Amino acid sequence: MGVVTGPTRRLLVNGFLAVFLAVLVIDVFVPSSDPGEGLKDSVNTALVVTGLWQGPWRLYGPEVDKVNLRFKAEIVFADQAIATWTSPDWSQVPALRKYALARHMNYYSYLLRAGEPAFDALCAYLARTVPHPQGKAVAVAGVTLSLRGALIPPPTEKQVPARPYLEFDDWQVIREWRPPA
Amino acid sequence: MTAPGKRGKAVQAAASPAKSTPTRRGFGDAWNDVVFAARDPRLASVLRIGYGILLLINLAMWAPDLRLWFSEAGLMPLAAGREIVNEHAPTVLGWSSAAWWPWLCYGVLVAAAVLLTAGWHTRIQAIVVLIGLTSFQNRNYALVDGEDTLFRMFAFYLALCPAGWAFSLDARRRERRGLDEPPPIPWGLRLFQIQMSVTYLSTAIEKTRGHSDWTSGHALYYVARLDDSFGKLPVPGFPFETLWIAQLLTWSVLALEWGLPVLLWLKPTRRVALVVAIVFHLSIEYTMNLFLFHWLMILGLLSFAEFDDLRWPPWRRPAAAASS
Repeated sequence: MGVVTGPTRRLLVNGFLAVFLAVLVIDVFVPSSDPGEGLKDSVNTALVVTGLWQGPWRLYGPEVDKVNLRFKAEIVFADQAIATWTSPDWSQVPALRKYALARHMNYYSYLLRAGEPAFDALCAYLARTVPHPQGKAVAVAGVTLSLRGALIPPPTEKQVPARPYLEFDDWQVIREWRPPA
Repeated sequence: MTAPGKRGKAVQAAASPAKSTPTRRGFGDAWNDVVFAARDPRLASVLRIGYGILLLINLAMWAPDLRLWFSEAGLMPLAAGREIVNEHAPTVLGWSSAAWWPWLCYGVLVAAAVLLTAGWHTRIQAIVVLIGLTSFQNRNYALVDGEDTLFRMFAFYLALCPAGWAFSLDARRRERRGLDEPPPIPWGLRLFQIQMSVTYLSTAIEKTRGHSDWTSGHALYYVARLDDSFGKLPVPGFPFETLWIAQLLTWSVLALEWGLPVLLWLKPTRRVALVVAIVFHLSIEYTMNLFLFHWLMILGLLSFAEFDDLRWPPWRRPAAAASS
């Protein structure tokens, strides 16, 4: 398709471009809540199936993230022993390590939006992998997943120093998980 | 790079604009002039190599955590992964729950990325890369961000470009067979350019919608206090602690994202816009941990340059050589 030699080929390329660009515009620029939603749905499936879906490019818009998050899990074993797991403290992770852990940052950023399926999968993973505090071979009875956030105050209310904002709220339980019977 | 060889001269001749007689021209002619403009197809090959290197870095970073992200024993078993992604999103990783299956898929994807970089059956490798990336991204959507979308879209555009025309095993094979093909017209490069414009314009619209952190000028104030994405390399605190400077920086980003989709297309402003855009992305790359996103954006921006602009050192460029 790269070599365009004749008028027929040129016509084919133009036909392809007309369709592709129209679809691209609908995919990227038509908001989901608009009357054009039906139109968007009609092209969405085709784009998802072909791997060409992109949607609007938000890139920290319209509102930037304003909260630093931490997750914590308490893994309760059948003998009532408790092991604790926490998500990384990113403010303590060096830049090069963050580069290697880029996908981990994406995962923890997305976890809250992913909701219950991802919470359950995380709890099940922790139940399988976090060892008993005394190293005993005891089954896990349950996992409690908690979340806390440090919400950056608006500069119009209170200006805080330009460094990671770590004034966290209290932990809130977001999932109580039990292993399947 | 040295002076162009026989094929390089043929490409340069093809890329130089043809003399035209004044005639009445409609939209169709103007469209064809833009889409099928004679450009040096070696630029597509440069984009292919740059893309291949970035993709291989991306894939190398997946390797230590492949089991964690993409297997049944990891953080996102297939059933959970399907619940957070569009129901139609395809993934070959769902074809088997065997522990070795993600590794086999990964091996195929890495092989395709290597062969794409080397330019061996380039178009096929680009399609395999698109299928592979789509499959991995749909298998665990929690890991996906803007750079992954760019990786997919660029693979598609490379499949439509003569990306294997030069600096490739395909080119070597063509030479060995003595095939004297005319240089292709790389209309697919326009798709890279359109993608870049669409990306800037879309984010500018999103950021300007309603009373946002961007219109108020507070966006970068917040970003500078995030603990994961901000703070890659040392940055003085005062620009983000002095509100008017933070606002000025925020509005500058917004102005740039509104301006680039136009300025990159206009010949008199293109070079300046390109340089400003590249500096903009390098600045964010310096301050933020966004993995390969900004390098991909810079790669996409190169589609607005011409192959000769990329020759280094600058005095080896044909225009400089001719004037000396």
